[in-house]
Amino acid sequence: MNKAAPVRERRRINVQEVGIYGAAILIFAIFGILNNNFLTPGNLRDIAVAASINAIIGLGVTFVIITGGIDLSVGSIASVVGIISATLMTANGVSPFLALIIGIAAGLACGVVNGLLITRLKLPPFIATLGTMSIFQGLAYVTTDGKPVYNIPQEFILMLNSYIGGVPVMVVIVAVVGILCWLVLRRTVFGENVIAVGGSEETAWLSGIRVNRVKVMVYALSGGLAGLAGLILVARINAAQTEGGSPYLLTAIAAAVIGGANLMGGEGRIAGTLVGALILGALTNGLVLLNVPSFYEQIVTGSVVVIAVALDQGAKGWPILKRGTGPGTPVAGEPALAEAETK
Amino acid sequence: MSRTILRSSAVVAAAVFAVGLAGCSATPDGPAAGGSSEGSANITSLVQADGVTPYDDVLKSLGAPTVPADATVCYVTRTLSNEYWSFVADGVEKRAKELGMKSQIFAVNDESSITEQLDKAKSALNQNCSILLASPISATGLDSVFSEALAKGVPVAVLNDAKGTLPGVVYSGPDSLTTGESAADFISEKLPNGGDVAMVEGDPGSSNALNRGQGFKNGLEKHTNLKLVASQTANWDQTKAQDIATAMLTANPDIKAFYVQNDGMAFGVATAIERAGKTGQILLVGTDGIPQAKKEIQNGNLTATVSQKPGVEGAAGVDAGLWLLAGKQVPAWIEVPAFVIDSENVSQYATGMP
Repeated sequence: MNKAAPVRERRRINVQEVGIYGAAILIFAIFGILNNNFLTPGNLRDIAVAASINAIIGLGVTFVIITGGIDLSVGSIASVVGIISATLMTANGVSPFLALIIGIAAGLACGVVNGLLITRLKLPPFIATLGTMSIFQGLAYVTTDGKPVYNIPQEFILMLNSYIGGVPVMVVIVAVVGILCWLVLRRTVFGENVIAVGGSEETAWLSGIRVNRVKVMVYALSGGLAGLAGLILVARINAAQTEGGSPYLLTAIAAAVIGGANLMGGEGRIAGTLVGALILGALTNGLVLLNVPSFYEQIVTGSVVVIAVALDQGAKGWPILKRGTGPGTPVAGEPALAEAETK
Repeated sequence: MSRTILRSSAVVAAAVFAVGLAGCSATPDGPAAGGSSEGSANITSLVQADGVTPYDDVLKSLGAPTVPADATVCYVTRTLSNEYWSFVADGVEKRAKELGMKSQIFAVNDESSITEQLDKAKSALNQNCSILLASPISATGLDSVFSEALAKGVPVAVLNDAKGTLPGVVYSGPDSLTTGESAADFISEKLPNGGDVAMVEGDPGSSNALNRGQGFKNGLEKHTNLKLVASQTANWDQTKAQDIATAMLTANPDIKAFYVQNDGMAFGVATAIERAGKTGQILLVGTDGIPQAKKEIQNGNLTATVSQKPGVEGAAGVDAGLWLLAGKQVPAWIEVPAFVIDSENVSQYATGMP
């Protein structure tokens, strides 16, 4: 049993990866053919910058989705963290670096609140984070009376939104965060526990994993990354807007799902989420270059989300069509369980 | 073995995100880099820092602008589901057509799409715009693109909302403080004996909401017999405005007049007044002057609206860009003043918007 499982999983994931990368390459190729400016280095850089905030929030959401949960509060966390840090810098004279640290810590704290509501009060993640989405947004309004914060110090903007030899700092941040997330998910016991919890909470608990602790940490990670994204957002628009983070909720979940995260839990890919964010960035950019009216753009973007996920399902052999049979059945819990047993 | 390959490929993918896509560019142009090149200095020096001049006067003194060959004007607007921005866009397109130049419009999904607007403005600038017009959602949100445009020698004008502070950027639009103040003046004229008034505000983060609200309060200071008994935000939302107005009327039955910061919300307030059975007894003043507002004025549901001139704002932006391209001096603020439309003059503005 233990010998057979990894073989199956290996094949499945390999095909999946091709599914999403294939879709990405196809989209880039189509836009490249339709518009001469699309594949220029400057434009590709703009796409990477445009995808950065989404990518960072999406990475945190990916962890949450792998555990079978959802975090609807990420947009509000990004907003409130931006407001708090910007207020600290402009009204209280806190140094940009300290404001950055406090901001990420505030995001983590918001995430811990989510985690505790879900594990201690046994609230379903959807309900708990629906509530905190509103609470954190309200905190953002209350902090500044709904007003935006301007006059962000230059050093703060340079720290997160400058270019080193033509490379945007925020894209470097995404790469570093992406690699760290990948290492955490695939190379640490915590990562294995995350996947195990998503595969089957009961099995994970029976095999000695502290499920509640894993969950709190996952929501903290999601909150912390949303906080980081909120700070980058401030640096991008030279201001903290009380609702600045709200558009990122659905797009970050979309990035994770396009990248192969399964809302039923147990599955999710770091590289997939990054590619998902890039696809969404490329769509916005490409449709602008083609001068597609913004109303049609929504239809195209929605369709691509559906098609990308369908392709992914296709690559997996439409597991939903053969529920519970054959190699398409999710087996994500198994490797972690096997290791937990051998410990 | 193939697990390892898989792992490395994921790392490579992450690295590609950083290096492959982003690192191959040769032109660093971060937000701090703008404003130093020659093009920027040229355009910026032509914009008279503290000048405020009505559009008609500027047009009279500078004359109709000339169009260089192959010029394109790009307008980065907000959401076209708010018809106000469609009227501004129409104004830009119409003026461009009159003068024989190309125009392109770039819109975003909704009023919170701040970074989407930024990304689209960047893409637009890469599309060979000769003039960049924009209505930023957040006052400073597009500053980095504006700096980049000015550095390339592309004139920049902000239309209607969010007058920024970046030197070299022309602003075309009304003074929102005056807009709010004229609403207070109008109410005072209609209520010589004074009374309780209420205000329904737009999104608290929007500069239009802040300035219209401040202007209205400034106006009330002149008319001491008018008392502001309630003021709340409905986030530019008609349904929310109806709920808020209903609650306000319950709490303060003596309210004699409402000032509402846009027409859409004013329709919600009109419904609330109707439900309370007080249509015609309470003054209701909206803002913007969209076509439906004029119909409601004719129907007696709305008393007046402080109308802006989106089409003129768009045209003034096009002209400002062309004057700058021709090396002419342009005031930093081309004023397109708002004016009150009520039952007396509504027939003159029956369709569209000026």
